[in-house]
Amino acid sequence: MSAPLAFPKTRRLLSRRDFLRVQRRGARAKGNGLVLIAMPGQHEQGRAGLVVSKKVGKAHLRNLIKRRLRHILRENKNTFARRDLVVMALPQIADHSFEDLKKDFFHTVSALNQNIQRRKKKRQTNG
Amino acid sequence: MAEFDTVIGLECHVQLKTESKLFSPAPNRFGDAPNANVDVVDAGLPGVLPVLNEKAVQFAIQLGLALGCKINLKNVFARKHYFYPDLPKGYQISQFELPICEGGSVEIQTSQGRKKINLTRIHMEEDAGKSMHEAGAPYSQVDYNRAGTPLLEVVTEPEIQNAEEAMAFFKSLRATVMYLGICDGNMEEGSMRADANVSVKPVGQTELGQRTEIKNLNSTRFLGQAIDFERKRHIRMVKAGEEIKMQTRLFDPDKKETRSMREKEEAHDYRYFPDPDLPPLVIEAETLDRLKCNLPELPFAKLDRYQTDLGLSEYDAGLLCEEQQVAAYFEKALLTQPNAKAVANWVLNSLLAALNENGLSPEQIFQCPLKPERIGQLVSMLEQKIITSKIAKQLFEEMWQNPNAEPEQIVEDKGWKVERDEGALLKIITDLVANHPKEVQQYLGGKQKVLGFFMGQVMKQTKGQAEPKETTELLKKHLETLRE
Repeated sequence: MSAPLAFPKTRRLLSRRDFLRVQRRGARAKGNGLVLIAMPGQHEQGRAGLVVSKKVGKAHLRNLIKRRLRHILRENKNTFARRDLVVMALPQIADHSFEDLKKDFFHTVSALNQNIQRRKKKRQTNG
Repeated sequence: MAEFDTVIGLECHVQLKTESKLFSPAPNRFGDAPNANVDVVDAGLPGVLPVLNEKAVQFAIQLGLALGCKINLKNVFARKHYFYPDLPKGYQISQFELPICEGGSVEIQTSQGRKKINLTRIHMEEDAGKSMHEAGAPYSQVDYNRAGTPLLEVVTEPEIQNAEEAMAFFKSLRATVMYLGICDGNMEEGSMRADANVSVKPVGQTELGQRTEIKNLNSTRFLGQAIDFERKRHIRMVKAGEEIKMQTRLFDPDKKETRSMREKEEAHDYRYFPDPDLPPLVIEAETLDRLKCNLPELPFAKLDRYQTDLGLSEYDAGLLCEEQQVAAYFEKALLTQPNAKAVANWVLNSLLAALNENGLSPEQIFQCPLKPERIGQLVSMLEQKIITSKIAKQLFEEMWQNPNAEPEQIVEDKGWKVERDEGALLKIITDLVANHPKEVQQYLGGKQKVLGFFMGQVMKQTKGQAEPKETTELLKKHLETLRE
């Protein structure tokens, strides 16, 4: 059993190819400071990856944001179970406190789940 | 045949797996010495104030979300008054007008297919203590360890039609709370109990018959037996023209019958009112969001996925999903070896049987010596035809005895590898054929069964390590060459 707060390589998106695949074909949801993109993953446990571009700010800020996002993901692994999830930070994220970030994240995941449900229904009625 | 419809409503109590009690810091633990875990709040001493356990609220919301209930963002605790020695305060803190969840449904699977049983509500309440009556003693004792334990009461609409549905409901609810990790589902320790309200009415009548309530059913089987007994009792009484009284009854598992516990006056007056010690509970929208997107995969979703994505049969998928731990084990094994059907077979047939033999329950699957990766490795070796299925069974036994050894190493050491040397195999076959001219004639004469004899001989000489398919092919080819 791995520690509950571990975030091993098997549970992360690592290659550019993986990121692009998700970004091209995944379902999206936009929050105040982040965009979530997800698609069904081939991995039973699911994987997550972060994108924090230089538009967001200087390195220390981007690192802070990445640390915080990683922590949220780690504590809430069910949010990306059986999915490949890309978390992209928008420039506005720079103003978020940690609490704001958590709220934003959970709210956006809820929206994302709804989008995914909608997609599923659409596919069922079409096919 | 069916002159009567049975109408059943269930109230299921789910004991929550929190560290401490619903309103006090005393540990919420089963099996300690009597009255070891009693706080001043649980004892109902004057001047104490209850403090709500946040975790219990979270668990209640999780169950509500999982069952599609409406979550009341504002809900109120109420005092329910009755006098009994196991209730030191003289009232139970429960919810009355504004429970935490309303509506929702539980999906069930019966021989008639899938169905949804609608819920009326789910509310939070504290459990009472336990009275102990020693046979013949002139006194009774009381243990307050259970007093104040957090409970969820799940109340169904009166729309369950028979014992099978009631049992399926209880099972499905149990699986759900265990998947959510909010209850240990341990029936012997009373972590889940059901009260069943049973009534019968002639077919076609819309008005419900007089109901009786059977209390404290702590196993799925007892629930079914009690309902069946009560249904028959009602029908007998209605046919005999007797009046059914509103009663609370107890089920006696030894005699498989129900007995009257107390006559219930029309709606007992519990003098409910909002508890002035506890402010209304307000749940923030963010909390709801957080819990909503963190819900684990639920039993029926998993069941569907195993069938559609992994191609398992409904039966196999059902068995795997019944216990969350078994499903988790299976998924872990899949990480090593993606052939779901083969892995499922090994988990369901060999592993569950082995657990049973060693006195472990399916829930304890992770405590067995075999790690899930090992099952994956075993299946992989089978897939790659390194071992035969016969050897695989032996390997399974060996791995169970010796869990730390690498399966590859075991196979190597025991010399269990499949005979891949076609030359050697061919030699065995040619020798065999040469030594058994009679059987060869029989085969060529059209007696296909003789092939089995040859196979058996080959297996005997190779100690079961010949790859069966290839050997059969080789044998056939060789025998055919003798036809000219």
